[in-house]
Amino acid sequence: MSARRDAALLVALCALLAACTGVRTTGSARAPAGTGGTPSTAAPGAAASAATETEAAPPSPPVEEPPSPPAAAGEASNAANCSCAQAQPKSKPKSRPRAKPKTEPEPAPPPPQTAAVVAPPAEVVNAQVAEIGTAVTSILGKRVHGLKGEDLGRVVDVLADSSGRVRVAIIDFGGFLGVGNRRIAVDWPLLHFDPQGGDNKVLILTLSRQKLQSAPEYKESARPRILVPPPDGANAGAVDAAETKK
Amino acid sequence: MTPAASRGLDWFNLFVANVQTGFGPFIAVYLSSQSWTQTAIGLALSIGTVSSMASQVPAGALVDAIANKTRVAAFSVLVFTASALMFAIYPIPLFVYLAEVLHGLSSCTLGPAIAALSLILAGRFGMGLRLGRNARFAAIGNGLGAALMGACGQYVSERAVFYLTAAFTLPALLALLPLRPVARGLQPPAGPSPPRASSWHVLADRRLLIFCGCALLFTFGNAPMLMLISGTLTAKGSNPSLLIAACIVLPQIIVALASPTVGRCAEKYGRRLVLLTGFVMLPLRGALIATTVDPVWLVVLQALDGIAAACFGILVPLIVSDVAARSGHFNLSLGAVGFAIGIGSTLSTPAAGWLADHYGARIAFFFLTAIGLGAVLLVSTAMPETRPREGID
Repeated sequence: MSARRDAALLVALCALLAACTGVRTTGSARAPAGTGGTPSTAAPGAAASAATETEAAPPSPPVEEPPSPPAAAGEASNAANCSCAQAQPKSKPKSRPRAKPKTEPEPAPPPPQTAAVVAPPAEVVNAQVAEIGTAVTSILGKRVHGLKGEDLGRVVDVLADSSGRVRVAIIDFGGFLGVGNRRIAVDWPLLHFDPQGGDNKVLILTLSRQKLQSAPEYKESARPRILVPPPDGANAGAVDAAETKK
Repeated sequence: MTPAASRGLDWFNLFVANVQTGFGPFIAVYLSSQSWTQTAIGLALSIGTVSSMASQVPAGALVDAIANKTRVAAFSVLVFTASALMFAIYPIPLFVYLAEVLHGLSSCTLGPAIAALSLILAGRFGMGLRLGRNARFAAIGNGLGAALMGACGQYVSERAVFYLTAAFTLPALLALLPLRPVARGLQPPAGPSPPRASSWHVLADRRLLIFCGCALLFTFGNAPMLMLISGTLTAKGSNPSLLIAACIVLPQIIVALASPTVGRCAEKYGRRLVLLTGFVMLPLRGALIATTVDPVWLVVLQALDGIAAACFGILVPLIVSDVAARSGHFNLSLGAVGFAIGIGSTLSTPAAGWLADHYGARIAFFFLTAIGLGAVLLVSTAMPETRPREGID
């Protein structure tokens, strides 16, 4: 009897393991070519960071310039840096808005966004450890408020274009206990930090609640539909948002 | 002894339902607040689904093999405590995945253990009434849990929700204390009667298989309803969070009110009639929802879900106890039905979501209505009455 029970448990465990690895491989298979080789999916932690990279570095549209492999690698290291707060949060991530890249031997502070546009050098950079010039803060999981301080959800993802420039924030909005929330994509410039926010800043989104509510839900694609400001930037008070990019 | 034990089981149902609320879809919100990426969250949730699906049937067999069901229940609750604390204290991938697996496993042992304790307490002929009481207290626990944890997540912090969840496991354990002598003294019908039937024989019972099919279809039509309704509310309502909370809590109030009646009716008029009543609510609700746009109406129609949930929640363990209680494989059979339910809900949510994306929510509601009609048809044509006749059994 007990032998049979053991066998049943074993079968269940095997099925579980197979299912998990199945999920994991499909996850990394979706990763763009540039990030494919990085993680060897040994520990769950590594799997998570692989997942992070798939998410933060979306398949870039092959329009302006063929994304050179080094650029993709730069994006990947950038993404890895963003996710480090999530991969090993030894301290509470919220209490430390200023990321300190002090004990990181590898990729050095992420290249500034504009620098990524110029083709980066093809060989390994001799990076050094230094404190970053301006204060920086983690974006993933950050609360988003409206102009009047109303709760508009939280940032759950950021999307960059092929040059590595952050273009879109995905905001998780509404719902109750995780039921009925929607993910809305908004143009990155619609977000800014509260100047008087102090250390624990919230993001301010210059959109009305109704606009966010009626926006279409974000669907993963290379060219998603997003909320953008009006073309001419007139009537700055109530920013009206239109949809672009077919 | 029995009244105290009975009250203990009431409270146990209440607190377990309370705890389970914390492990719901709120986990996704919490992990987002901890800077988890969407892909990693999806992976964690799939791990939870897969582990609970895979362990349904084996866990049922395990509970059958362990004589002391109170101990199984206590151990499962302790595992919940550990999972909730892992979420709260150290939400790194390793612990979150582990907590998901542990929670999936122990949910699968806890459900059968509660049903087995009810069977020991009430016997086969009082089972309907006992299950009605279980459902009433579980519904109160669910409703209170949703309200408390929603407020906690809004006004305290997301992390605090999991501390609250862990804290609720303590009164659940205390509620088990009066049940200890029951499990020890009244060893289940393991008298001289049953030459234990083989598990395959029990699982191949025609009535059980048909009921699994009915349960699968019903869950397939029912599970995505709340998601679709709340999605609609988020897009339209003036205060969506409050309306969605009402959509969650209102059915629980109905379940709490109706359950004892449903249990009594199942004993008096038979299982088939009550099952049909519950199943009819699904296509009715789907059709009515598809024809309205008023947010308040959407909430009011959730009352139908309460009736369906009361009937379904009571009849699953009741019909299984009719079919398999004397075979010694009650929990294994319950695990099989749980597996069917799991398949239904896992498959239907993406299917309905896809339909809603491509053809609009209305078409998705009509689709779910059609599935619900199919479930009604299956019950009315194929499902036999399983109520035991006192004289014969």
